[in-house]
Amino acid sequence: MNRYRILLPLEVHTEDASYKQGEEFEKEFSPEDEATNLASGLLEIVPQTYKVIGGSVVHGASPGETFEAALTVGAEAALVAGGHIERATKKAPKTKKEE
Amino acid sequence: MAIFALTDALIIVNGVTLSDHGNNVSIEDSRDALDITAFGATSKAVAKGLGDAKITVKFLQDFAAGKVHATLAPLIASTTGIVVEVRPTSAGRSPTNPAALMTGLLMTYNMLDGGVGEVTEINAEFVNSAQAGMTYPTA
Repeated sequence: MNRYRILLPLEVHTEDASYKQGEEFEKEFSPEDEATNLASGLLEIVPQTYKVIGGSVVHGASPGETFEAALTVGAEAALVAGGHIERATKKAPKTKKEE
Repeated sequence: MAIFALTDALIIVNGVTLSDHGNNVSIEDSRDALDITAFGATSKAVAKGLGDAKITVKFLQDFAAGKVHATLAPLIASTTGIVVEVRPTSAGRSPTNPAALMTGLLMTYNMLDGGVGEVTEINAEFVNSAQAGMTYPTA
């Protein structure tokens, strides 16, 4: 699941709430749906913090280090499946659903 | 002008730096040649059509965690484009060290290739999957 920020002056409706321009929400898009929403300029991915757990440098971070990146669902899945990274536990701001 | 010798290329696949396992890289940025020759012409004429791009890397195979196979195996099964970046040297991007940057799909991955006693060199072929095609950022 990724966290997204709305860039266009539109209201986005999810299962739990509605969000306006500038607001953030979490959702599990398919890679294709995510790509469509990013390409249209509607959404941007809010960067997450990741820890490098494999043996290679990932996004400039050495093994054991953390880095912040806005990874697409597909890119993150491939890196997790390859044993390169894991999400670092960092509390994100609450969405409307969590408030 | 200095002739460039390739000794320290930077290869990043989906954010993972794999330069220390690569020993050959090829970057292709092409356009379809459309034949626009008409009756009466005395020479063939062509126009440029759709662009295409491809990055092919030869890797020394490594099955250790977080290395070559761990990076490429998830990508051959994936239908999502990932970013591949190659630079002439491992230094930062600059006008004299431009990157070749492409969002692509891994279309060919031969996990093992070699004979008895040989080093296993494998090819990974990434084909463009985004409208931007190949770009050459310098910063």
